[in-house]
This record gives sequence, structure tokens and C-alpha cells, in this order.
Amino acid sequence: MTKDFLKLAVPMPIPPEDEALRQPLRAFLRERLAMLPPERRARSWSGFDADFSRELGSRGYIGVTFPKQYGGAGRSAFVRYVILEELLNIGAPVAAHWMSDRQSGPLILKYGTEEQKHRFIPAICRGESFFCIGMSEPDSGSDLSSVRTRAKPAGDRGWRLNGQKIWTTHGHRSQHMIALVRTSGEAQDRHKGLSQVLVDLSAPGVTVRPIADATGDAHFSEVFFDDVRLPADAILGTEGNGWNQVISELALERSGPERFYSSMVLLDEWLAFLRTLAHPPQSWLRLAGRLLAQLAPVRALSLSLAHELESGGSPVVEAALVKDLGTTIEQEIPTAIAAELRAITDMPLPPSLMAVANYTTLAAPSYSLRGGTRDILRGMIAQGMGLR
Amino acid sequence: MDAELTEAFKKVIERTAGSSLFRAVKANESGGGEFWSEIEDSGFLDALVPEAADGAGLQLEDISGILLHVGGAFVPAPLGETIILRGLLAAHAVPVPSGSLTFANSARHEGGMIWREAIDCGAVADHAIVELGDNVRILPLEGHRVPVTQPLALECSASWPAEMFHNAQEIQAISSEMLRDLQALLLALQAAGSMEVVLERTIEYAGQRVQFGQPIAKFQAIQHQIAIMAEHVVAARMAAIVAARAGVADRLHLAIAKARCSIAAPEVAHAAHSIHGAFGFTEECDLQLLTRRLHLWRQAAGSELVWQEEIGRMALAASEGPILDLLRRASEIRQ
Repeated sequence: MTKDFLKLAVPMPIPPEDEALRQPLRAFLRERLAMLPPERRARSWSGFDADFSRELGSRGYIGVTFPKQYGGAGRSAFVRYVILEELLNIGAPVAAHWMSDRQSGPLILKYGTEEQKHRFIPAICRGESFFCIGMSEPDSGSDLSSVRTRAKPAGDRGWRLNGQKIWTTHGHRSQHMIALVRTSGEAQDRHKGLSQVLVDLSAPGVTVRPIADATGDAHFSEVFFDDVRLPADAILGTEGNGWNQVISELALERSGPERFYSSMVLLDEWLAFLRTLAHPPQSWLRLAGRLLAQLAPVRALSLSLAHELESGGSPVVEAALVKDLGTTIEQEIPTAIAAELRAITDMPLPPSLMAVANYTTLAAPSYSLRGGTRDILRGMIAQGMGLR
Repeated sequence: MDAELTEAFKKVIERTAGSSLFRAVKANESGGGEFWSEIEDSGFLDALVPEAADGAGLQLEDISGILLHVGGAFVPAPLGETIILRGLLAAHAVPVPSGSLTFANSARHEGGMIWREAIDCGAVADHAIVELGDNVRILPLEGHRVPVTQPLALECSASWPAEMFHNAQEIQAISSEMLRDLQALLLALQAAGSMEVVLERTIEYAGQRVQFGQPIAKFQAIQHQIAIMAEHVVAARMAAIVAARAGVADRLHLAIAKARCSIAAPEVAHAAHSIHGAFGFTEECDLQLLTRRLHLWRQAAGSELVWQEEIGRMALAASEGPILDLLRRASEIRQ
């Protein structure tokens, strides 16, 4: 089983035709985001800007891997990788369309009817349709299959939805949700009887309340369903197949480069400051090297994963391994940089750099919580090695 | 990586090396000479020597699988060092001495003698490439060994009369940086290969050791430690393979490989000993033969701190564009 992980350790360069997208995108982003201060850009993919998402969509940067007949560009996973890297490293405010592009759109393409694909995919590609993820509930976090939100059949082949979701990123600013709900059986049936449903968040009975988080932002929310009427075609995929569908959705959620780039704005701002110093401290050089020595192999592994996905594989456990490696570094970056910055007593520190450092420090706990906690991921890795 | 070549090499090692031989050689008993003759006969030692000089004419990338395997096998000789140094010497048209070779860079001059402390495999190697302030010579080790107190593996110090150093043939084409870079790359590959074996043995042990009515592998605390070990093993292996493919021209890759493998080595060693319990702490258990060399290879040719600083300087110099561009260069190798 260990051998399967080791197969991941083969470097995969990005094909030149896909790499070609990078410089034009970078030039556009530099100009378009010139007025966005570093402390805003440090929000990375938590930053919400509907206009920016629309503009990216109009330039063809959203849904690049989606088939052309639905408005996508039909390009490879590597093209998407290049685009994501540039967006994440500059700290572009991509939150609005992030979930749609990363997982909701691909989920609809994989399990949806032709009608559903035509209804949702083109708008996602235009950067106009924003999806949020309905998974966690107050009593169902890591134990996802214990969800209690329930869709009961209504008389007219539709459904009535009751229950609650929580930690819904940008639920208060999205138009749609794909929610994991129970459609048959009881809680003790666990994986059986779960389905994914498409929910129009403007429907009567839906209440969304933003939740203030520890950084001072309110990027996630709780969503209440009070007898919400869902049409017959609200089911995504097959009724009762929700668990299998959500597992493949999680593989998509876990395998991208956002799993190790969350602290890059801080790293770049700090390095920029380091370059202004007449006598760079040895400990700063050593720290920079330590962070880069960890980031580089993770990028290589992440590209190897992209190659797997592009080849039609489903590297669920490998994605967990790369995510855990990535979030560990993401969290080390603000902790270690703050120690070095605060050891300086003989010169003023740029206020902007301190703001970025402080934001990243406050946001860091969420890195290893979102998309699967590190404890769950490590359990998955152990299972992948045959220990369970 | 040449898979067929690696398999052939593994068979030779399986037949000739092992932990009891390693212990015997370490205790100054016989067996080392016999092992070396078998390796000489196998032809692997001239893997990197050009075909014109009767070698196999291979590149470092082709033998990366071999060097990874050496790391995790109980090889009582500077096998990797000899392959690399024979290739280096032959590439610069320097006569290659017979027997085994090892690195002795950063030697020092004191009291009319040239000293080098703790030469890796110095206790068993025939010759050392000795570097003193960018002057490079090949010197014999026999008759010049000075034992190390409490060695980690087969290290030995050596001293030669200064005159002997200066009278030996000058090797002008090879620099101190070249030697240190090559040794660092070799040790990164060996460490990565060793950590893979340490992980496998730890999984095996945890699956067999029964306490509280079940194998300890069933306990979550043990599973999470092993998961973390696996992360280090995979990251270290990727860094080492990228460096083997990139070679020594762009020093960024070998610096990252040595740094990453050196960061991983003590973490993997500690976790392995933690899980192996008291039995893993005995001389009898082979684990210590692997972990003591992990510590040595982490430290030799510069610990992670040295290579972190090298990478930091490169980051400092990369003033155009985001640091992403350095990461891209460091993680993609175009063939």
C-alpha cells in the first residue's frame, strides 16, 4: 500500500501549451488588482467580489475544464492548475465562483441530467452563478454521514426540505447550494438513504445567517430550511447515491493547489521586505529556505495529482496526503515569520506587512479544518496504508 | 530512473549485503573485502563512467533507483560514493583509482598535517577525494585512519602529512562546491531510500505487535504517527527524484532535496523508534542500523540549516516576480 503513495513521487511538468496561459493572466491580474492592498489579498480565496468573478468568467478563466457545449473551454486539468496558481499567489478575490468552479460544476457535469447541465453550467462559466456547499450541520462535521437535514417526498413528486446546514462558506452570498440530505431511512442507516439536492437559496423557507469568524470576517454562515419546497428535478444524480457522490466531490475539493498556497501573500510580502535589508539576518535566510524546501516538493506532488486526475484517476487518499502536507506548511508560514519579525527591535516594520502577518495568523487555524480536518485526513492515509 | 537496472541491482544487494555483514564490518571483522569484490564484478561501480572509458555511460537520473536502494540496504561500503566519484573523475579525464572512494571535502591544515574529521565510510574506504581550499587530491586511507569516538556508522577521521597531499596529483577541474553538491545529492537520495524502508518496517512491526488484544497498528495515535511518517517519506522522495533528474547544474534542486530529506530524517527516525518501543532500541533490532545512518546523512555535507540558507540566498536573489516562479523552477523538470 505504501508503494501506491510512492508512485506519486514522479515529477510531472505542465505541458507548454497549458503553461502559455500564465503570463497573459498574470499581466491582467497585476493591472486589475493593483489597487487591492496586500492585507485584502491575504484573504486569498476567501475574498468575495462578484464583479471580479464576472470579469474572470467573461475572459474565459472559469470552468476551463468544462466541455465546450456547456460554455467551458474543454481544456486540461493543467490549464486550470496554471490559472489557480496565478489567482492564489496574487491573492485574487475569487470566493464568489470558487466552489462552483472547483466542485459544484464538475459534480453537475458528472451526475446531472442534460437539463441540469444546460441550466447551470453556462452561468457558472460566465462567473454569474455562485454555489455553496451544504455538508456540515451543527451535529455533523467530520461525521458527515450523520446529517439529519431531510427531504421528504411531497405530493406532487417534489420534496419538502427541513433542517439546517452550518459553516457554509459564502452561503449568504450564493444563489445555489448542493446539499447532502437524507431522503430515505434513518440516521442509523448512515451512508444509505442520502442524496444530493440542488437548492435555490432564494426559495421561500430558506434563511441564511452569516457567522462572524475569528479573523473579523464573516465568510461562512448557517442556513435554515423551513419546509422548503423543492421541485422533482432537485435531485442531483441518483436518489440514495448521495454518499458516493459526496466522496467524489471531496476528492475534487482536496486535490487543488489552494491546499498549500493560502499563506503565499505573506511569504511574498515578507521576502520583499527581506530584500530591502542591507544585512539579511541568517535566521531569515534559513527560514525562507526551510519554507521553500517544503513547498517545492508539495507543488511537485500536487502536479502529480493533477496528472492522475487528468488521466481519469480518483486519487482520494493521495489527495488527503498532499492536503495534510500542504496545510501544515501553510500554518508554519505565519507562525515562523511572526517569530522572526517580532525579533526585530531596531527598525520599524511596514504596517502593511504586519497586517498581512496578523491576518494570516488569525486565519491559519481554518486551513487544517476546511475540506476535512487533519485528523480525518491522517486516518484516511493510515487506511490507505492498510493499517485499518 | 531505469527500472530494469534497479531490479538487477536489488538482486545483487540481496545476495551480497545484509545486516549481519554490516555489523561484522562495523566491528572490524572480515567480510567487507568479499562484498566489495562481488560489487566490482557486478559492473555497477562504473555506471556513470563514459562508454569510451569502458563504463556504462549512464546519467545520475538513470541510477537514482540504485542510490535510493543503497540508502535502505545494509551496504557496508561507500558504494554510492564510488559510483558518483568514478563518474566525476572519468568525466574530467582524471585517472580513476581502483577500489572504493569516498568524499573528504573541507579538510584542514594543522601542524604540518592535513586533517579531515568523520569521513563517511572512512573506516572501510580505500581512497578519499580530499579537498583543501579548492585544492583537490586523491589520497589513500589505509595507514592514515584515525578512529572516531562514538561513530554513527562507518565514519573515520584521517590525517596525512601535508607534503603527501601536495605531492599527489593535482586535480584542477574539480571544485569544492562540486564535491559538496554531489555528496549532498547522494545523501539526499540515500536518506529518502532509507526512510522508505524505515516506514515499511514500522508498518510491519505495528501490524505484528499485539497489545491490549490487538495489533498496535489499530490505535489511532499510532496510525497518525505513521501517516505523518508517510508524508515525509513521499515529500523527501519527490525532492530527491527531482534533484536526480535536474542534476547539479541548477543548484536549487539539490539544495531543496538535501534540505527536505534532512528535515524529514530525524522526524521519521523518532517516529519509528517511538512505535517500535523498547525492542526498537536494542542493538539486536536492525532499526538502529537504519536510523543511525539517517542521522549521519542528515548531518553530513551540511545539515538542513546550511542548505536552507543556500535556498534563502537564491530566494533573495530572485527579485522579479512572485516566489512562485522559484517554486515552479524547483518542482518541474523538463526532459
